[in-house]
Amino acid sequence: MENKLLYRFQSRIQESGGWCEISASGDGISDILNSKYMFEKEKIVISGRVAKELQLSGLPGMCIDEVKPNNRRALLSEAKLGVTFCDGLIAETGTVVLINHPSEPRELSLLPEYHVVIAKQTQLYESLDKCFTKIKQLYPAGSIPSITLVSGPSRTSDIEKTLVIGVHGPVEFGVIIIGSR
Amino acid sequence: MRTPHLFVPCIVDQLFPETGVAAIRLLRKVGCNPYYDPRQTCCGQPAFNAGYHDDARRVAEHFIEVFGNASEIVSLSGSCAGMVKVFYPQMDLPEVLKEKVHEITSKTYEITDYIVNRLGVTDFDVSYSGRVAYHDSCHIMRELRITEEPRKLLRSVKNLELVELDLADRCCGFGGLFAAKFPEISAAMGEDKLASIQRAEVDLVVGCDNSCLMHLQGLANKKGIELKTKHVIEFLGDLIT
Amino acid sequence: MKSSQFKIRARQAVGDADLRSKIKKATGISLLKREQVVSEIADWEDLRRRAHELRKETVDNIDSYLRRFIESARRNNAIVHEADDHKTANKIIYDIIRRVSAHTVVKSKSMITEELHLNTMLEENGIRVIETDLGEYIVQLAGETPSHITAPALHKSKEDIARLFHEKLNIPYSDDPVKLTAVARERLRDEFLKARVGITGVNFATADTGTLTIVENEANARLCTTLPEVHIAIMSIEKIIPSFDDLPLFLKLLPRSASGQRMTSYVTCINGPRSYHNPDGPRQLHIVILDGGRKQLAKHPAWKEALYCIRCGACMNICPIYQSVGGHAYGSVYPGPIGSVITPTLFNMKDAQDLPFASSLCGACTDICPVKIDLHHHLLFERREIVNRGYKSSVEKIGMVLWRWIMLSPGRLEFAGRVGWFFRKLLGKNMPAPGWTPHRQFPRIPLRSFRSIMRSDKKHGK
Repeated sequence: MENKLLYRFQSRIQESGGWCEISASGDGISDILNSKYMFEKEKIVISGRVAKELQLSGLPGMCIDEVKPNNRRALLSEAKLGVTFCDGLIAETGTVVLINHPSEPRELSLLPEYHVVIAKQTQLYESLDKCFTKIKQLYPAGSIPSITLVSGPSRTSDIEKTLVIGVHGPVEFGVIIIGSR
Repeated sequence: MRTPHLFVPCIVDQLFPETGVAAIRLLRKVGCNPYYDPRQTCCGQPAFNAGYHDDARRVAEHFIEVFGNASEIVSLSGSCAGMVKVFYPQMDLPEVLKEKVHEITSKTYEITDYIVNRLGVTDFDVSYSGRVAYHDSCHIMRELRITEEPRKLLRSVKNLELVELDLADRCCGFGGLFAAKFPEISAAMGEDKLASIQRAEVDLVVGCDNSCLMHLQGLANKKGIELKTKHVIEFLGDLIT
Repeated sequence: MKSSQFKIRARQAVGDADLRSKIKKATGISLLKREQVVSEIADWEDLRRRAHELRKETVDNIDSYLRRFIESARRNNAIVHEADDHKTANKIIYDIIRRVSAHTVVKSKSMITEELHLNTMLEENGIRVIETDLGEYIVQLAGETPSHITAPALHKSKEDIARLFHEKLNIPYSDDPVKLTAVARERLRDEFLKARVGITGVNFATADTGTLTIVENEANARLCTTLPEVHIAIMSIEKIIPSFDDLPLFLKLLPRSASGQRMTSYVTCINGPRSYHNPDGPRQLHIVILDGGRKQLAKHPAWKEALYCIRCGACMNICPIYQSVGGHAYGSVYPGPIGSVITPTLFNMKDAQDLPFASSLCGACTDICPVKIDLHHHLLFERREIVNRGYKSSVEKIGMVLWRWIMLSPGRLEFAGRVGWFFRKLLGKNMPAPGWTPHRQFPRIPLRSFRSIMRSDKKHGK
């Protein structure tokens, strides 16, 4: 079942112009990132949740928690790659659910040219309904933070319906799922 | 023996009588004894679609009077059958006629629907060599949801190659009064349909509404495009000897 | 631009083969993409029915849902403003901008701001408005209005846009969509970073949680709702849906219907300004809720359905009339079938009296509508209202009386037919008939009508 969801998620993301790789353990993530992006360390900014909640350390890049809130926007405007955790993966549509978090500001998945999400296979949901039900259980009414659903890179078809990737948001979007097929 | 009352809409009566003649021939062939009441005129659709519901209602009352006692009503136009079945119940008719309308609505059939579903006939044992396209008129397709019945009848014709038009579900641009109120748009839509017909390379286009076919034929004639159109029933009726 | 000139503009548009082919190409692509992602949903019809029921529930009880939404939004620390009419809404928005002394606002795509003519009002008051959706940016540079509710620049070819960018932005001519998009990205990124006020529309507002949901692909709405200190979200009352739990349903219907995507690249669900729960984003969130005649419309037993619309634009794409004339001909903020339903009922029936007639009543719009609005039947019944209000010419009225007089007697119908036959015989195939023969040949009228054939058959005992 989980494998089926994983497969569907992966193909959906690819169909909407993103990429998705599976890593058997957290150790492989650095390699995947290094193989795809050859940026200097200060051009890669990583969500504080990656270390705290995924217990992943040693990724190439700097942690957003180490940057003063006032300096974050300037840093992220210059950054090449933003790496975030997430709060759910929706297989039906190839969607990543991001809930607003102090260690994972919205700009981190928005301003850098590239956005990579690290997720766990256990975070897969079949459909958005199921994920939203879970979110409502987790947060009492009146305290749900803002939520962003990301299903691919920034895109437009405003010129003659020609698909162009990369308008105002990240020009590339990728997901690394820790799990196995 | 079934005695369906033929509903021959004004356009068929005055411009396409051969469709009516063919309908009688076909129905007789499958054991019906069709009845034609010459008091009938029109269902009221032109005024209804133009927004003149009072005028439409008066004509509809005449229709109800003529067809009130029919056991079955068989319409030679999908659009007019739709008028009776879908819109009569929504008219501001006098209370006394409401029940009658309900009854009329349930016993009115578009002719291909009648032949295929009511009589259970799908094969007239006829033959025609050529490529034929069926044009889905909007009202029969979307108000009555009849798309398969005429195709079934056509597929049963030996040697006939039934061709599906691309954009088959796209309106031809007739639309009743629309054709005269917005002739440029109507003609542009018709030209798209003609282009689709030309791409299909067919010998003949058949349909269940003479009015749409008249519009397409008129456009083609004006532009000097070769086109042959016929009501499905007239086409089948002509094949019976 | 007024809806009252529909006929004139439509005629011009139909004559513009270039425009027609651009529109046909764009709508064709949208329909094809939609078909692919809709056909994979086995219970699509079921979803449409459920969505229809939810929209009906909301519109039927709009006052109570509006109250609930406002309470929930205020609990989220949003500042909620209610505006009865367009003028009030504009004043509220202007005052918010003035209070923070902003001179520039960045704006994402929003039909409600088009309805308000917000940009004109703000610019008249010295505030620079920057449209950031690529299509809107193009339309704004050209000094035009959107011609489609989800694809504003649908009427422009890449060459048109290349010329526009070359002239207005002083860049070398290029008609490569990738290059043109890159120019917009570069020009607008700075504006996003500098702007202190961001304006957006709203796709869905959930009554139970006060959540504002914005659906988009480019990330410009994300930037408008993340970077500026102040976010002004503008919505009309019917954007409300009952619950956060209903959101997945509408998110299943809207992107598929609008752009043929399973989900748009971004969906932002805003639950209030920066706070303990929301560690970043604007410090102030203003929600401006416009009535603009909608509460009144919600009371009409049939036309309230116009308020069910979720603005996907699919009815425009499928409409053969829209495909032939494009959006601008309608002279309304909302073109196409839904526009022809809304414009007369919500704005001005007299001015827009041609719109409900500009339909062949083919019903393709009704079939494609994700919330099952009975669009073509509403157009049909709006015609009755237009006639009843006496907007039609006396010539037409007399014509109808004559028609009725003929149709109430089989003898008169036969006589009229024979008169037609006589003239057709006399004048031949070039017989003129206004509205018909400029484009089509007059049909052949047979010597004998069906009733006459039947009469003689009977005489001869057939």
